[in-house]
Amino acid sequence: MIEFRNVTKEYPGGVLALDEVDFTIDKGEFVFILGHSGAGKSTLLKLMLKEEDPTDGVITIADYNLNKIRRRKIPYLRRELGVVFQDFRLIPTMTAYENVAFAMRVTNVAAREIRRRVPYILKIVGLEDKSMAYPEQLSGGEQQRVALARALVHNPKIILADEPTGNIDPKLSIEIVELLKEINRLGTTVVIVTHDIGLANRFKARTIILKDGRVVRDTKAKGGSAT
Amino acid sequence: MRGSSFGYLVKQGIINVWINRMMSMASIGILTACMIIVGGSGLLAVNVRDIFREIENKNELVVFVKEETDEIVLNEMYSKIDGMEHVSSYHYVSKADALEEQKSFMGDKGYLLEGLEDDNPLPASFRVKVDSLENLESVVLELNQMNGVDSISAPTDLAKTLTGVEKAFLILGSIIIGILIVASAVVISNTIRLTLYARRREIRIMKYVGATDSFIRLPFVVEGITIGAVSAGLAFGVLSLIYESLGVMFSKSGITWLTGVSTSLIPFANLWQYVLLAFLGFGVFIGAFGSGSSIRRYLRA
Ligand SMILES: Nc1ncnc2c1ncn2[C@@H]1O[C@H](COP(=O)(O)OP(=O)(O)OP(=O)(O)O)[C@@H](O)[C@H]1O
Ligand SMILES: [Mg+2]
Repeated sequence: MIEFRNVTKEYPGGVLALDEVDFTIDKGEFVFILGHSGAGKSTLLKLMLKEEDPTDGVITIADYNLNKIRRRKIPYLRRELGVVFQDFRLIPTMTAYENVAFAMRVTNVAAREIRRRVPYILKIVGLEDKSMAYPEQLSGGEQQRVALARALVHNPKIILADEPTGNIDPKLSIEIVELLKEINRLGTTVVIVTHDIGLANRFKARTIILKDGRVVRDTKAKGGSAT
Repeated sequence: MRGSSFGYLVKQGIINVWINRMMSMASIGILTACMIIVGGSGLLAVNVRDIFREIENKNELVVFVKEETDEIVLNEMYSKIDGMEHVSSYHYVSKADALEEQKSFMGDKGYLLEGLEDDNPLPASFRVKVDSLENLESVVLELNQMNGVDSISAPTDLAKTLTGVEKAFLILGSIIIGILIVASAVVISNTIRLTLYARRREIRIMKYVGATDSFIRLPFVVEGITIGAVSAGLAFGVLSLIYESLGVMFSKSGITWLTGVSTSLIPFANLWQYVLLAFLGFGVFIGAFGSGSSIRRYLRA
């Protein structure tokens, strides 16, 4: 499902963000990518989204070879991925409902399907009674759940969450990860990027540890979380 | 693309015009002004052309034939004139015809010419029409080389002036129109760039959730086209008002030549379809082109 083969990323100016990173995440896995600030975690996500290109190495996501993918096909790659950004990236002029519906609309989904699906997803993330609220009227945790709903709404094969627990208190972090765990149980591959070692330990899932752009540890399939 | 999405995107484009209304209004204003100038010059040009055509038709060369020119030379002249490239029509006016013509020209004072039949002082002539004023001079030169020509009366100076004016009009008009087209495209593309800037967050998010380029582009192209089309409508309205009221003003002015101009003006009823079509075509093209060019940069980034 996600394959990194000796991937190196050097930013212009000579910053080596990733150095020969090599791992495979299978369909249905639940994985933490753990690393301190500047370890290269966000760079990893940017490469998966084809927002950046690797300097060296091969990346394959959901049968797309990112080195060879044509520009025209990038939107379809991205539809396979549901991304929860660290800063949520919600549109302030749209309600929670519209923020989620927007993601479906721009991918050419029928209006009727949108009306059916959006309330259902908002219910899953526990926001059914906040659907008409604007982002600024929502707490950090609620905004995060809107972002999560948006990532989930078109049923992606892979969920990528960048620091989903960064701006919220520990109790909420755990709830979010629990929810992602739930989604994972239904068959979606989930990758959580975090610097919170406590959280990763608590869930006893496979953890890939990044340090200065290198994979220093990969606890492949520990404790039966990856099925 | 499905209909509901298309409808949604078109609506977004029109909403963009409203959200960005200060800038939209400014660019509609500038575009409307550009179109009025271009359209006004166009209308002026067709009218001037029309007047020139009339002058061209009315003005003929008169080739006076020498006294005592015999049949042979006359026939030679006939066939020469007949074979000339830029001559559109000609006819021969004999001495007797010339006298008759002069008589009828003088109306009830024509009797003064009675009795001149036997001692007719009026020369015979060929009346030659040239296909275009531009060619007048060369035709005159050619005619002058014929045998039997006494003199030629031709409005060469007028022809020179008129063709010069027409050429100047054409060149100046093309330059102005070119500048205005570029200016219009720049104005629209800057307006759209502002909307793009205001919506950059949305565009980025659209890209991350997998919107295709054409999906992202469409509302902005619609925005550009809307601005172009609204400007076209306004420019059409204003220009038709100006044109009609100028006609009325001229005819009521009491100044002879202005009244004359007003009667030879091409009626707007014969022109409006072309004007509207040209404005809409121009507005839609500039709108689509201007927005497209600014979006391209955004999509690359
Ligand atoms: N666009 C860029 N240009 C140059 N250097 C960059 C760029 N983006 C990131 N870097 C550098 O690459 C390295 C890895 O950055 P990255 O954002 O991947 O870290 P991170 O693990 O996500 O950190 P954090 O936990 O603070 O978000 C850092 O040294 C950073 O300064
Ligand atoms: Mg980061």
